[in-house]
Amino acid sequence: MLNYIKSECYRALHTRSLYLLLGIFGGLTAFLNLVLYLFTAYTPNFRYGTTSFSYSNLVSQPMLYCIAACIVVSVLYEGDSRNGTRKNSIAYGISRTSMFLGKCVVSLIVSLIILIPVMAVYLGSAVVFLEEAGPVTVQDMLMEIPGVSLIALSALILAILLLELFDKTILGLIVWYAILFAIPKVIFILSMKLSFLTPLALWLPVNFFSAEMTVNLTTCSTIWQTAAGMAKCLLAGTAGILLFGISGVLLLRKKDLS
Amino acid sequence: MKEYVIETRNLSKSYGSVPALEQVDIHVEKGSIYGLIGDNGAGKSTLLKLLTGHVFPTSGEIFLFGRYQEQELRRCRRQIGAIIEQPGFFPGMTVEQMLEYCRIQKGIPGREKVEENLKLTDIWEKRKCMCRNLSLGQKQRLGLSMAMIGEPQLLILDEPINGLDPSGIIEFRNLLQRLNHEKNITILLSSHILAELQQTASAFGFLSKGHLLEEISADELQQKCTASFIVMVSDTETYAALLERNCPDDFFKVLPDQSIQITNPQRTLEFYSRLASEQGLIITRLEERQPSLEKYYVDLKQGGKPSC
Repeated sequence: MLNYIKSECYRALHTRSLYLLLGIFGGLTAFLNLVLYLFTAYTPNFRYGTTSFSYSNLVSQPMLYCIAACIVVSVLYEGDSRNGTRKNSIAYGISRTSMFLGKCVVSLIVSLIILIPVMAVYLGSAVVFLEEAGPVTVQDMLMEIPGVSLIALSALILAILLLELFDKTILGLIVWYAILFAIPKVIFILSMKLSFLTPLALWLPVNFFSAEMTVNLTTCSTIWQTAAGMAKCLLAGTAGILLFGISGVLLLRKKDLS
Repeated sequence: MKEYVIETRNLSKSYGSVPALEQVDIHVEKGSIYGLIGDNGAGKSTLLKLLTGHVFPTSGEIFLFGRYQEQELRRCRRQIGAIIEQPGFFPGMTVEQMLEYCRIQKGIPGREKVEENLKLTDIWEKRKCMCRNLSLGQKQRLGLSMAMIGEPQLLILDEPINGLDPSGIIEFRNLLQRLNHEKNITILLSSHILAELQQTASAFGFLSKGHLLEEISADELQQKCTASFIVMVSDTETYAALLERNCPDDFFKVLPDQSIQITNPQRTLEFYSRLASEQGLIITRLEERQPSLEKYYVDLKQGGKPSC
């Protein structure tokens, strides 16, 4: 598996679209802060030209980390089936389980490598362009990373599993969205009528992030601020990692390549 | 005792309820070039995919280098180079990067192997080209280069000459024969081009509708399919009498179109021509038929006694 990971890291290093992705993520964050700065400069009484508002865009939407993880996985592996590169690795004697786990490791490494400069650009451009005021602080931003890390990792594992499972990338992405966003929302809505669904609904990340957090111009109450909230994030993430990881190993172990 | 690099026992594969391969027993000897022959849908690619681990058998056993357990098979596959259907590339990587990626993945030490392999398969000049910009023939060469890296003991090639131009086919054939002779690499290849296979392979397996019809060595095929001459003259009866008198050792028969087929001829074509002209017979047709793998395969597939 180590050779597989090394080769995939070599490939990631030579994949231009990953550099493009890094540029887009970094550029978007800088652009957001620049736009806020320009509005502040040219619009009287503009209330949003603060670091707090800038940070709140990410702090109030922790599932953005999951989407970012899914984008990284898609850029890395969406062509695997179409290009026929997966069959090369199988023919070299690499097991499907090693490939799956190797892809998880490589995607995690690449995601972290992208995250660091993007966060630096985000925070740096906010500090440079915007007034430091408001309830959301750098600390909230930085505490969000460990809080959401395991949930994002489980989303990343799920994305790899689905791209391996379905030959059509778009189908994999639709199922990914359904599992992480659509189905939890449906369960949440149903739980309003069917009370026995409430505990389950409130253990699904997309639901507890929206139900148990208030982040706006005047308040910043995040779930990871309390030990119990942080534990909930970590437990939900761990459960996701185990569920999707074990499913991946079991479902892909004997899968025929088309 | 023969040493087999590949052996299958009652190997079957079904896709859903559709059988693709049924009870196939093939035997690929060490150091041989084994040609797998069959029509589209005969099961050639399925068999090769089973051997390379792309799909799992429904039943039966696969032995690679004498090993058969799943984990051992995976280990054995590290000694195999394969191209199944189309070679797989990352379109945005250069030829050199692609081969380097394969080298790292196979755990082969030494970056110089990349250069060696690209030169061996004559694609070194394209090393800076993106894989997406290669021609079909160049892709085949890169595929072979990827299969060859790490000097595998066994090459499994599915339709490897697809897309190659005539000179590319000759070079490819020479390369395979060189690898087989000099490095003792066993090669299993499938092809539709039977004439090409006949020049390359030392053993053949005939697949039809998921069944292995026969395995035969090139020597056995040669014995079964002897050359023959076809002679058509103005007076068939007179010529037949002449043959009986002058060539008692030759076996000949008169075909329905009144031509005479001389099987396993002991003399040259000129001799049979002269024999007719000396008696004033006019020769309307004179041809030499070489042993034909194609004819053998067609007869075998139709269920008749194969002949050439």
